Amino acid sequence: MNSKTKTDFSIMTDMLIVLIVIASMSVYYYGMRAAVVFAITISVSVATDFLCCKLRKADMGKDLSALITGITLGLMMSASVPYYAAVIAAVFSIVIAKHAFGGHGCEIFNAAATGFLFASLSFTQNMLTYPKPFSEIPMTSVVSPDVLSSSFTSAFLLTESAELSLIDVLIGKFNGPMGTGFVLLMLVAVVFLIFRRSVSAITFFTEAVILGIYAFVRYDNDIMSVIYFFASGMLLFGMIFLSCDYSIIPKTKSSRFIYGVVFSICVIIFHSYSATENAAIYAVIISSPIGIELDRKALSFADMIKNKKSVFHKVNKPLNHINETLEILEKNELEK
Amino acid sequence: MIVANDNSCKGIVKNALLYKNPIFVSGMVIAPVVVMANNFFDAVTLVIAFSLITFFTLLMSSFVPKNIVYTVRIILYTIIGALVYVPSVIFLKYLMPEGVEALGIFFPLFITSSFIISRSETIFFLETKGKMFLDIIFCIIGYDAAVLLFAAIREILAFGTICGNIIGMPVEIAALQNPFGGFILLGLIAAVFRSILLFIKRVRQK
Repeated sequence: MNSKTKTDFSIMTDMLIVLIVIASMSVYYYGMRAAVVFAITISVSVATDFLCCKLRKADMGKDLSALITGITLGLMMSASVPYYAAVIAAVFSIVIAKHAFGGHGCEIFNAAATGFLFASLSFTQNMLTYPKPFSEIPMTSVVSPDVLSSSFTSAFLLTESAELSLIDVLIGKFNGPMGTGFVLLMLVAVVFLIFRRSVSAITFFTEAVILGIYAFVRYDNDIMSVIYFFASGMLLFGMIFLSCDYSIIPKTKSSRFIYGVVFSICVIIFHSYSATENAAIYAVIISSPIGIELDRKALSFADMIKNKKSVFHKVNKPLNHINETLEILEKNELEK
Repeated sequence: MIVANDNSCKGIVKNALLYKNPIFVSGMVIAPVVVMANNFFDAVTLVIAFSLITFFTLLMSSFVPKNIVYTVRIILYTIIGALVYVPSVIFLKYLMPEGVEALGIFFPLFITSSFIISRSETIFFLETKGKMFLDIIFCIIGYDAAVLLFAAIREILAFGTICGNIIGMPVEIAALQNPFGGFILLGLIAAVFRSILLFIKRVRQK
């Protein structure tokens, strides 16, 4: 299917299929509490979206974006996140990041990333501590800190190494957000989405190459550290589902390339100079408005080139084809 | 725009307090509110400082001759503001020294606030002295009430307290303590405020 003819609904359906598969894996890893968190983020997102559309008297149409935001938000959260934090994050995503900017298609930030960031700034302790995969997590709203620990990312940032086997990293068997660590599954997902033209291959590969080179240089050509780097801090997840989000990504190819470069630079800066766990989230929020601006610049540049070409053409035409031009002029005068 | 159309004293008061509320409708001088009005006590300091500087600056600015060119008039308003600032800061340092410290750069910045320029330039040339002062007083009251309301809501949501007393809120949204959180909350309250005004207007029209 050609990307030009691919509809929003088709892209959202592809995204939804992939996200549901990853969410199912999360429920398998973290049990019923993960399912409850997903139920909350999805239902609150959809209900809030419905209410906002009613208040704005806007047509919902075939808009699955609230559903996608709900699942994405759930995947970024800890399985032990307090239920109220999930509710607030979902409401914030839809009301502030989506409808305050004019609804679907007008967003300048990824809604899920914005909601997550707001919740993580509001409930830092609860949002950034995680239970172990396959452990018993109480169903109470607030989980006791005794069963929680810091993430694999935070340990990796501190020590620049980790005691995890390659298999564990690839299957996401480490402390962290519910659905952002399944490296193998993410790779399959990105192949599927690129093949279906539901995410931008240009942006994704630009980011992968730049961040790969950075990780190689930073970790002295240690392949395992490079894999840890991509698995940690929601990086791979952010590259696929947040930075390549169809609603905020630039429309032109050149802009998508530059956008990928900007996102990668932001990740590198945050990773190098701050102790933040989720550099990808901050990078997405900073680079997405730049991406939109890139589109505008690309269009005005294209207009400028077009105008210059026409001026150039007008100037050169008489010089190169004087006779032909005189004929045209005569013809025009006769017509007049 | 929602405004009371009559030019009577009642209309001026309604516009100043509600339909043209400096914070919720006009969005004027919101930077110190977003940064400083974290809780009710800080908001009280902010409100007193703003009221003192604005009222006396506008009062003295009303005597600036109207035939002076615009650019010079603006410079004169700022000089008057600077002159009012000196006794105001001395008075407030005596009354609430910690509050003045907390206000920091925002206190002297009141001198050049858009509120002073807009009120002095739009009202002074159009209204009589009596109506002009009525407008200034109620605009300041409208601003103060909006700041206090905003700070009270922010304190409840961000800290779970009101005037420092714990009220047992189930959730405290810490992000609202930051300027970005305050900005979002102010936007939401302004949206609700304007919706209520529109609703009242529609009901009255019916």
